[in-house]
This record gives sequence, C-alpha cells and structure tokens, in this order.
Amino acid sequence: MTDALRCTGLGHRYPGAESDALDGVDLVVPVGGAAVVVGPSGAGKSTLLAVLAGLTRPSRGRVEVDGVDLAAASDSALRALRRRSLAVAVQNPFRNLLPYGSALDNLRLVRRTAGVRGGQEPARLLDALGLGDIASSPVHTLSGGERQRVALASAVSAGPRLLLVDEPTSQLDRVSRDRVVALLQRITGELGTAVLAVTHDPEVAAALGGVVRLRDGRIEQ
Amino acid sequence: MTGSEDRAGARWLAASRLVLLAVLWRRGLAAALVVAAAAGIAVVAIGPIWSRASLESNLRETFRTVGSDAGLRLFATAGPDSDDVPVGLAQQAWDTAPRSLPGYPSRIRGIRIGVHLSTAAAPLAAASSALVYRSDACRRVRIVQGRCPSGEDEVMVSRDVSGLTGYGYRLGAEVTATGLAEQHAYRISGVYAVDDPSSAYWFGLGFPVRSTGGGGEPLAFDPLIGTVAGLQRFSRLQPASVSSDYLLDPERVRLADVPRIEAAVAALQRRYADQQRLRVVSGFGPVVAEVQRRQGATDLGGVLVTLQLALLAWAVLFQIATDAAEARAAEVALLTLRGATRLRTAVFTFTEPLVLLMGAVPLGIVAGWSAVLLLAPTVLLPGTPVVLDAAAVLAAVAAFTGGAAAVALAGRRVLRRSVLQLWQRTERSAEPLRPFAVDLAVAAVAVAAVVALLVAGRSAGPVLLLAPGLLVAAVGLLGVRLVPGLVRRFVPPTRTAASVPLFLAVRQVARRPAGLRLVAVLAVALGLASFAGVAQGAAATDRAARAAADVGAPRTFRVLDSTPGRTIAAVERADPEGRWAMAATTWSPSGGTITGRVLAVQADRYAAVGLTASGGPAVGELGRRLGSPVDAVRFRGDRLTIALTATTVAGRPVVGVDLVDATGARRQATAGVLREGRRTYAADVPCARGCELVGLAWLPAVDRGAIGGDVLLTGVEVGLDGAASPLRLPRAAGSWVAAPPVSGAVDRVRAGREGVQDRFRSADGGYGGVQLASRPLPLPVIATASAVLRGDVDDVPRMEDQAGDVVPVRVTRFAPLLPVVLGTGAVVDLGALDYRLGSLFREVEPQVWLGSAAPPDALQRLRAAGLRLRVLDSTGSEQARLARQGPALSLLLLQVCGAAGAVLAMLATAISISSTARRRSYEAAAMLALGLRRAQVGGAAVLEQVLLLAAAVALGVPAGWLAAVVTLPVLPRFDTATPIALITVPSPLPALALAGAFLLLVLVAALVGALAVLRSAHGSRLREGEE
Repeated sequence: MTDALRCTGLGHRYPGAESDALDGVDLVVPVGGAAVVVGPSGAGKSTLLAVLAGLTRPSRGRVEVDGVDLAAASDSALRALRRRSLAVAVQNPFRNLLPYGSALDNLRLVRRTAGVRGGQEPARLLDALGLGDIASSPVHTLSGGERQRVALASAVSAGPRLLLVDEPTSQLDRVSRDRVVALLQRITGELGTAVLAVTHDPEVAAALGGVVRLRDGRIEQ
Repeated sequence: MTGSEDRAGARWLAASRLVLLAVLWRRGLAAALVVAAAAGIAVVAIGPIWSRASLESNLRETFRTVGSDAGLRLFATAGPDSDDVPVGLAQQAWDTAPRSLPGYPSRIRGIRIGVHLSTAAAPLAAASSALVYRSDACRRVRIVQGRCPSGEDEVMVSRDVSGLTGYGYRLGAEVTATGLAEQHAYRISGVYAVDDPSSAYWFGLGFPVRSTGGGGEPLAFDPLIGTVAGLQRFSRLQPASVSSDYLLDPERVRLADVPRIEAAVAALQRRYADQQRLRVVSGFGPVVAEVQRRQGATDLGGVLVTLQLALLAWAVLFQIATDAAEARAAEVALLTLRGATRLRTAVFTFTEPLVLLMGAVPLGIVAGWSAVLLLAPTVLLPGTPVVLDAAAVLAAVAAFTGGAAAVALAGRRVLRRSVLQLWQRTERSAEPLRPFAVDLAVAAVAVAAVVALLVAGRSAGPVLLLAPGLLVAAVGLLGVRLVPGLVRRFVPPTRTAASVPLFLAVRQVARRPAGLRLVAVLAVALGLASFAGVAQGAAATDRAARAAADVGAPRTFRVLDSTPGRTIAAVERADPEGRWAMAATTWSPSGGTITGRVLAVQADRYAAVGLTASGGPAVGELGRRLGSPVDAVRFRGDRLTIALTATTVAGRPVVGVDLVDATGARRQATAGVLREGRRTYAADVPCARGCELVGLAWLPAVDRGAIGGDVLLTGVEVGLDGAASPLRLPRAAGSWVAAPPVSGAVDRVRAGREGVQDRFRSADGGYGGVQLASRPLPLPVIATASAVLRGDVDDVPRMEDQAGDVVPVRVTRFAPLLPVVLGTGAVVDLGALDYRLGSLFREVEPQVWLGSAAPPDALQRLRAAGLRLRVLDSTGSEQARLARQGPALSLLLLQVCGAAGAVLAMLATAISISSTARRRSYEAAAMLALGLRRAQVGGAAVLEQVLLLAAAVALGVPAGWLAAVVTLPVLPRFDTATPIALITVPSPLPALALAGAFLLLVLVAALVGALAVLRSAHGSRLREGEE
C-alpha cells in the first residue's frame, strides 16, 4: 500500500538565500498515521509544510503524496491532488474558512470544489466530529477553538488521504487545545486520514505521536 | 423534477447564498463598487438621454420658430402649371382633404381670389389686393372697428388700408372687388389689425402686406377678409387659390412622433401624386432634417464628453475593483488551497463583483435619467420630455461591459498570484506605478491634439475637442510621477526635524508609489472638472455678451399700432428723465450707400438703456456721437410769436414754423407773409400738450415764384391761455443749421448773440429755412466698414426709403461691430431719422427697449403712456436659447459629469484609504508598540493623505485651467458664428473655487483615513503580521 506521504532527500533554498531552508529531509507518514514536526522558530517548519502542500516547489529531492511526485507534477495535477488527497489547515483559521459562511457552508464548498458527491454528508460529519451544535453559525461568530475545529473538519470533509496542519493549537486556551487535539486523533483514527502536524506545542506532539524534530532545515535523529 | 435537477438547484441556491453573504460581509466595499459602477454607467447613459432630451428641446424650439414652415399645405390644382382652380371647386377640394393628420390636429381652410379694389371715393385708384377667406380668421386678427363679416356681402379691411386718406376704405363704406370677368360690391363691416404678421396661422402667404408701394401711391393693399359665401359670389370659373393648411402643434409633437408624421405626410403625397388635383407641400421633413443635422454637433460633443468621463469612471471603478479583489485574496487563496480548478476559482472570484455590477446597471440608468431630469429644466425648454430609450440602455450595457473588463483586469491580478503571494499583504505596494511609456504616449497625443486644435482654429473638428481632456490627463499622469521624487527630497530634512508625523508621512509618500495611482486618477478627474468649470464660466460670460450684442438691451418689446414718433413721445412721457426706457427700431434702407440693417435708437437715452456689444464701441460713446450737442427746444402753448428782422425780401415768402407735436407727428404752422423791417409773426400751434420747435421755413408764395431775403430771428414768445413767455433759443455758433433744401433752395445760416441770420433764395417753388441743430443734418451715423458702400468718414453717404425719400448721412465713426446689426450695419438716432424720412413709419415696427434700471412697473407706465407692447426678446431668453445650442449643452454636460467624476474619484480615494487601513494598521501597530503616541501616528496618517490628495488638487486644478487657457480661443461656444469678441483668457476663479472645495474634502478624507488606520492598529495585528 502507498504511504500517504513520502519525502526523500528533500531540500529547498529560497532564491537569493545563502543557506538551505530545508536540507535532506526524509519523512514518511503512512496511510492513517500521524506525524508531528517540531522545532524552534526558523527551523524550516513552515517551508516544509509549504513544500509538502505543493505550494512551493522543492529545490531538490522527491516528495510523493498519495503516490504523486509533487516536484514533477503539473500545476493542474497539484490542484487535483489537493482536491482529492491532500488537505491543508494553516494557522490562521480565517485562511481556512470563508468567514461569512457557516460551518456547513464551508464544508459544502470544499466538497463541491472536490466534486465529492457521496461519502459522509457535511452535517453528519460535523455531528460525528462533535460540531453539530455550531454547524449553522457563521464562522466569524465562533470562538477561536471552534473556528480551528471547523477548519479541520472543513479540510477533511472531502475525505483526503493526508492532512497537513500548521500550529493547530496556537492562541487557544487549554480546553480548546484539548478539543482540537482530540479532533485530530479522531481524524486519524475514525476517518483514516493521515495527519502531519507542525507545532511548537509539546503536548500536541505527545498526543499525536510520531515526533520529528527539525532544526536548521534538517531532521534531527 | 429529477434528482440531478434538484441537486443543481440546491447547489445554485447555496452558491447564491454564499455570494449574498459575501456581499453583506464586505458591504462597505460592495456599496462602493456599486456606487462607482452605477456612476460610471450613469455617466455613459447620460449621453444618449441628454442627447435625446436636447433633440426634443431643439425640435420643439425649431417648430415654434419656423411656424408654418413645418406645416402641411394641400393645394387644389388645375394642372401641373396652375396653382389656381375654379373657386366653385373649393368645397370639393376641402372635402377631399383630411380634417386632421398625425401632429396636425386641425386645418385651416382657405380661398384667395386676386382682385382689384376701388371705392366710391376713389373709383379710379384700383389697387391690387386679394379677397380672402381663412377659417377662424376673425379670432386671429384684432378687430379695431366694427365686427367680423358674417354676410356674403361683408368684408373686413386692414387698419392700414382703412387709414389711407382719400381712398374711402372706412367702416360701412362699399368697396368693389373686380375679378377676372366680374365684379362684386361688399360693405366694410369691420377693420382689422394683425398684431403678428409672421404668425404661423398666415402660413407664410405674405399677407398682411404693407399697404403702399414706392412713391407713396398705394399699389397693393392688405387683403380683404370675407366669408366663404362672399367669395363664392364670384362665378364658379373665377380662378382662386384653394387650400387646406395644417399647422403643426409643436407642444404636442415629440421625437417619437416624427416617424409617424413623416409617414403620414409621405402617404398623403403618394395618395395625391397621381391625381394632379391636390398638391401636397410640407416643410416638415426638411425642418426635422435640419434639426437632426444641428443635433449632430451636440451628439458628437456629448459622445466626446461621455467618452472622457467614462474613461475616468472606468479608472475609478478599476481602482475600487482592485481593492475589492484584494479584499477577496484570502478567499481566492483558500479555494486554490482546496484545489479548485482555475475556472472554478475564476468563477468564484468574479461572481460577486459581476453580480454587484449587474445590480449597478439599473441604478446607473436611473441615476443618469434622474440627472438629466434635474438638468433639463435648467437649460432646455420647459416641459421637455426626458425619455429613456434603447440607446441609453445600450450605452448602459456597454458601460457594464467596460465595468466587467475593469473587474476582470483587477481580478486577474489576484488570480495570477500563488497562494503564498495571496497571503502576503505587501504585494500591491511592490508593483510599479504604471509603465512610463503609457504616460509618454498620453502626453504625446495630448500635445499633438492641442497643436492640431490651435492650427485648425475654429474650424477644428469636434474630435479635436478631446484635446483638453488629453492635456489634463497628460499633466496629471506625468505630474504624479514627479511627486515621489519631489517628496523624497524632504526625507532627510524631516528626519532630523522635531516633527515625527511629518517625517513618517514624507517617508511613506516617498517610498509607496502604489498610493499615487489613485492620485493620478483624482488629478485627472479634478483637471476635467476644473477645465469644465473654467470653460463653462467663460462660455456663460460669452453667452451674456452675445445676448447683449444680439438683443441690444436687457428687454425689448414690439410696439403695436404705433409709429416711431408716437413711440418716442410715449416713452418720453413714461420715462421723462430717460433712465430706463428708449424707443428703437431696425430698418433696412431700400437704397443709398448704407447697406445692411440700420439700428435706430434714441441717442440721448442709449447709454442708460442699451448694452454694449463686446468688441464694439460703448453705448455711451454711440449715444454721444449720434446725438446733438444742442438740446431740443420744447414748449407747451397754443400760439407762437416770432420776432424777425428782414433787411431784404424778394417775392412773398410765408413764414412757416416746423414742429413735432406730443404724439411725435410733424406739424407745420404758418405765421404770415414775410415783410421787410422788424416785425413779429404769430402762428396758432397745436401744442397745448407740448411740442418741439424744429425750425422756421420760408415757404414759397402761392404763385410758386422765386423768393429770397436776408432775415434775422431775434426771439420767439410762447402763448398759452393768453399768457406769453419768451422761449429760450440757443444762439451759439452751429446751434442752427440750414433746413434741408427743396428744389435747389439755398440758405446761409449763422447764429450769434444778436440772433439767427439766414440769407436765403429759391426758385420754382423751392424753399428752405433754418433749423435747430438738435436734429442734425446730415444725419450722424456710426457704421461698420462693410456697411458703407464707398467713401469714408469725410464723404457724405445717404440712405433712402421705399418711398424714395433720401436722407444724407455723415459717418462719424466706423466701428468693427455694433449692437443688433453686428458686423454689417449702422446705428442712427431714431427721432432724427423718423423726422427726415416721412414714410419710415410704414417700413418699420417700433420697439421699446428697457434698461436694467427699469422699475417693476415699467410696463404699466409705458402702457399708461398709450403703448401696446408685445414681448420681443430679452438678454435672458437669448442667453437661454444660446445655452440650448450644441456646444453649450456639451460643455454643461462636461461640467456636470466632470464635477460628478471628481466627487466620485474623491469617494474612491476615501474608500481606498479605508480599505488599505487594515494593511496600514500593521505598521501603525508597530509604531505604537515602539512607543510613538497615538496622536503622532494619527498625525502621520493624516499628513500622508493630505500630501497625496493635495498633490492631486495641486496638479489637477491648474492643469484644467491650463487646458482652458490653451484651448478656449478655438473651442466652439455657439452653433453659429458671431463677430463679437469672445473671452480668450478665462478667469481662474472657478478653478480656485473648485480647488478650495476639494481641499476641504481632502482634509475630511485624510482625517477619516487616519482614524480608520488608528482604529485598526491594535496589538493583535503584530501577531498576525508574523505569519
């Protein structure tokens, strides 16, 4: 069976930069598995996430998501991949959601974008993820934790193979953080979506397991 | 409905709901987009709506002016070579013709039989005339005596004919009309007067005609008006002109009716084309064609104005659409992040602004229509319909398409960016201002257009009228480029200065070219508004000047039933001090050396009442040069006693006294035979109500033999009711002159302290005399050079009337142009002209002019003095007419749209400031975190906006004035040429007023923008900025 994510010898240097942002990163996330990338600021976490999400082409190395080589894939193939297999949730919830729409609106938008007809209906998915009571509320009226959870639900609503999450618990209180972590666990456990999270939060890392430390663009063994 | 249709419907509903939610979420920006789009659509839609309304107005005004020329006439004809038919066929011809036609609600039935007239009093003086029947004639004439004819043997005669002495056309008299082979007698039941011979009712048939021909003998009389039965007393074979005349009702005809009327006229012409019994004549088509031809200039001007303003509106819309697209950047990034196809992302990006644009279309159309609705009554004819037609809707659709293109261009910039770029906030400020080549191209085209305009002069094609707009655009675009460099020079000094806000503001302007894009748009908008304001100000002044030159006085009136002399007398009774009223007329001499029209005025009142023609001599100077240095000698009395000392007398000359009585009529009284020695001569005079002494005449004896003598006038006494008093006579040299000689009479006149001496002689019935120089001879005339056939100031030209009377004139000054007669004509004193030409009253229609000092009851006073007045013209109505001409309408459109464009651009600026407030708030938050006070940060924001916006005002307003200065000398302001001097250097006041108003707006916009930045500059911005 193909891994949800496999990168080998991944390297990236920004144009004009004197050093690599990523250097020889090898990483595997199995289907339904989870991995957490931790590291200090400037370690290359955001660059890694941008490369893995297909938002930035790597300078070298190979990245395969659901069997597709991101470095070689065309722009439309990358779009197709993000529709079908790859979901991303960034740190700012408003970048993951339409602020004026409800949770349901956002989930429907993602499903329509992905062309998903079957599978779990948005309302049922929100119920299943414990978000049924805020399903119809406009996103901009939700709390930070609720927004983050709706963002995660929205990201996985089209049934991706891999979810990339950037700092899912930043700026959240403890209760909200625990709920987000629980939601991520359910996404891997119940929906079978592999999760790669980038975080500063050691508790999140501990809860999800599979921690990978990144420093100066390299994986610390 | 199938399941898939259900799902499609649900998806459509969900998508629509999201669009609605998005619009509500960004309601401020959405409203701005709608307003900008609606304004742009309105600007474009105004063009055709305005064009249509002005065409309606012009059409109606032309129909009113041309009168029967736009009417329709059905002639009964006897064949291709004859317009006359037997009068017996009249009824049949009328029955054949329709009673009414589209646009022609009623008809006038007419018969005209050419006859010769005679009366018992003058059986041999048979004058040619016509016996006429026209339906409704009695209501169209004023019956001054008797009544309307009702029997077959009754007719009305005109007052002029009735007033002819010795011909017997008085009320109740019998008149004989001789036709082709028979004659009939009619009794005069009434005397009529026609107040408006040019009325459309008379259908341009040339009657009423003036009743006399040359030499004072009547050759043609005004027609006799009779009944149908009266005319049909002639045998059936009597040739007659039989017609059905249809008058157009200009108040009821609208542009939309024109095709229907044209079709009806054409159908009528086709219907009678083969019959050769009725001939259809109508000027409707040519009149409409002429109106449409003139409208072409208005339309083209409107299109050019619309084009300029549409481009401006488009630029503003593009700016707002760009802001709107930027506001959606995060959503576009989200869709891209979720893998949406390019098409889906594009649809998502454009749906919202396109929906808003579509919503703006009806708003824009209604706004444009409302604007014209408000504007129309100020310049167009009252009651002009403002119609929304297909052209306006098409224009709005075109504007929508342009708006969609602006949205597409603005959205394309967002769509082309990657997700990571979309998340970055400083993207826009990194973009270049604009390719320099674009600015250079605009500048080059502007210079070329201005040069072409100046070379072509007033013959320049309307397309070159884009030159002002191009010039403004070039100055605005290039000027804006200089702003950062200029401001950059102030960075170092402000860095070390105490004012932190000033430094921050200067630094921001110097390093952020993106904000200057809007400044360029605003500068161009203000430039257009400034140009339009300055040009409109100059055009309004020119219209006032032209109206003054064309009309001659603030208000003018026709005087009915009067002569120049009676009018002068009445005016002097109503306004004895000569402050506000004046008698005047215009006259075309029948011969002589003065050509063109002659304006006759009261010289002593002209300065107080008349208006100077721009480029010509002042009315004060005209009055002085036309008048006499000698005051008229006026008195009231019933007897004059004249003291004369005659040293030699040959023949038996009779002493005559020449007078002008209170009604303006010339009078002559005799005071006995002149004898040698110092004697007094008494004459009874009809001057109880006042007279003017003109002079003394030495009249020939009954035997018409030679007379002569040397006589000294030493004094005159006036007797009234038995009491006598001396009349004060001028005795200065030149205050008396020789009377106009008759049959070779010679007078040598010399005035001095001892009296007025005249050595005179004449033979064969000739006579002369002495006259006061208050009625100078030769008549002083001021003429344009083109009006004098030959000679110069030293020559003595002459003017001649229809009766063959001649008055010698002396051109006291040549003028480039004169009031009313303008480039070709002359001005004379009315009283002097009327006195010298006894038949003048038959050729002219007296007028009364009112000056600006006329009291509110001026008309009552004039009427109380015995004048019947009809409004002729006024400078106000003339200005209104000129304001309805094509160039004026285009300028007005430009002014209104330019002002709207400037306000719109300012609105866009405010919106842009507000929409960038969030972006700027990161910097503001950082500065606050660094310890700057809120006042300092706010002050910096205000100063930055003031610097940018004031730069727009400083560039745009002078650019508009400059464009006006450069192009105004050749910009058309009227449909027709005028010789008056027009303004070439416009007043900068409208531009300064505009600058002042917009600087205030700038301050408000800057404050609003600064507040928005400060409000958004809270601490959380710094954390968001880290991403």
